[in-house]
Amino acid sequence: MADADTLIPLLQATARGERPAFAELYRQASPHLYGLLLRMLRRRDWAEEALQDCFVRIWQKADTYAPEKGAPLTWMLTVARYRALDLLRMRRPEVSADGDAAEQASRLPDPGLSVEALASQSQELGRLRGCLDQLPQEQRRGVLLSYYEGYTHSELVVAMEAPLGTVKSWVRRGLQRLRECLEP
Amino acid sequence: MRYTDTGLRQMLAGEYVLGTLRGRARLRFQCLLATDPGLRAEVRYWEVRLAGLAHAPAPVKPPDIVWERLSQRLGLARRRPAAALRLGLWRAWAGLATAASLVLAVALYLEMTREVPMPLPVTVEVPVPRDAYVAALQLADEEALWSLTLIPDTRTLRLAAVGDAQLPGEQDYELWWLGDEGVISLGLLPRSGEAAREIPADVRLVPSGKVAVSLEPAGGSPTGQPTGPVLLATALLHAG
Repeated sequence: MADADTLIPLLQATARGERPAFAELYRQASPHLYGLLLRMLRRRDWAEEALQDCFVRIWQKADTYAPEKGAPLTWMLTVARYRALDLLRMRRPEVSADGDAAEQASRLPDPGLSVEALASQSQELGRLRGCLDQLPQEQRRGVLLSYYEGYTHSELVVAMEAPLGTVKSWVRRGLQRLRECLEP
Repeated sequence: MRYTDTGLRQMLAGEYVLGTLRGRARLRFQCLLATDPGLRAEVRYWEVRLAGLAHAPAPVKPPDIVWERLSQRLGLARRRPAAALRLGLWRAWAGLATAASLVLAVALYLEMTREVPMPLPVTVEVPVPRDAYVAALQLADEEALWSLTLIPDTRTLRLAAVGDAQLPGEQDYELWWLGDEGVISLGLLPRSGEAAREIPADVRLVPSGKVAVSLEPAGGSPTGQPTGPVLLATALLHAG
């Protein structure tokens, strides 16, 4: 299992350019990153490409990892998520908020397991779990669809069948409430 | 847009991490991040708080080809072509007597419980002195290559590097003798060029002896025993 006790020394050795440590880091962490990338990108070829990009970045930036960036796996998953967001922005056909709703919806991937069910599978949520549960359903859904699907506001309009101003405020209020809940 | 309002900064940071901040607004925000440590802290706040969600998808082992492409892309899998290797070794040994012998370097060292990367077997023709033990030391992920010759008559150890060691300055490769008498340091591998030294008196040169190489802090192990990962262990070949 990829825990901080083993990953921190591996990241530090990677920062010093030690190749065997980097290989071991890849062996332990890549399944977690790949799982997330597959879920967000929905295409194996994109996920494989993104995984490579992530580990190039990890190899180059391992020296910038600091414990305040979270556990090492958290940091690496963050790298993966930003990479996935970039790829989605470049590759997913554009959805505009004022087009034909049914036609637009067909361009979005089938969500499969709902984002709420997916989020509830995480063992690492801690306080976030309770805080998510307290959100009104639309706010929770807006936040989770953005997080896992990388939906833009326009894509949220299509997926949630609501006007732009409304989905924007669902996401913003959702974040605001989460923050209030996490830091009372 | 004003970026001084605390609530607004928190909200933008949240939308940036979530991914809903797009287009020019995202670019502008990224520029601000470069110069605004407070804003970076806001981003980190959300990265860490929301990261629990990123753990939800089940891990999936990626296909091996991804690692292969990655190591190629980063130049981690550089290997010297066989012809250059043979020529290089020949040069390294030039000046020694010319009894030709086949050197087959195979990792045999099983005493360490940790996984030792197995080097590829390398076959090279080298001229060696009469009655000597030889080994070719090829380390995983290292471009340079070393030839080792132990001459019992004169208790001399010769090392010759082919190429320059790629490891950072704060580290050295240390050579070890593995015999019935224990693990004994044979000194550092030269980062380039040749080195000759006396074999320590407590080493009993026997055909069953093996040598190993470990990664150590610059100057060698502070304890007299290997402290870093063992990169290679190999049997010696008796050439005589």
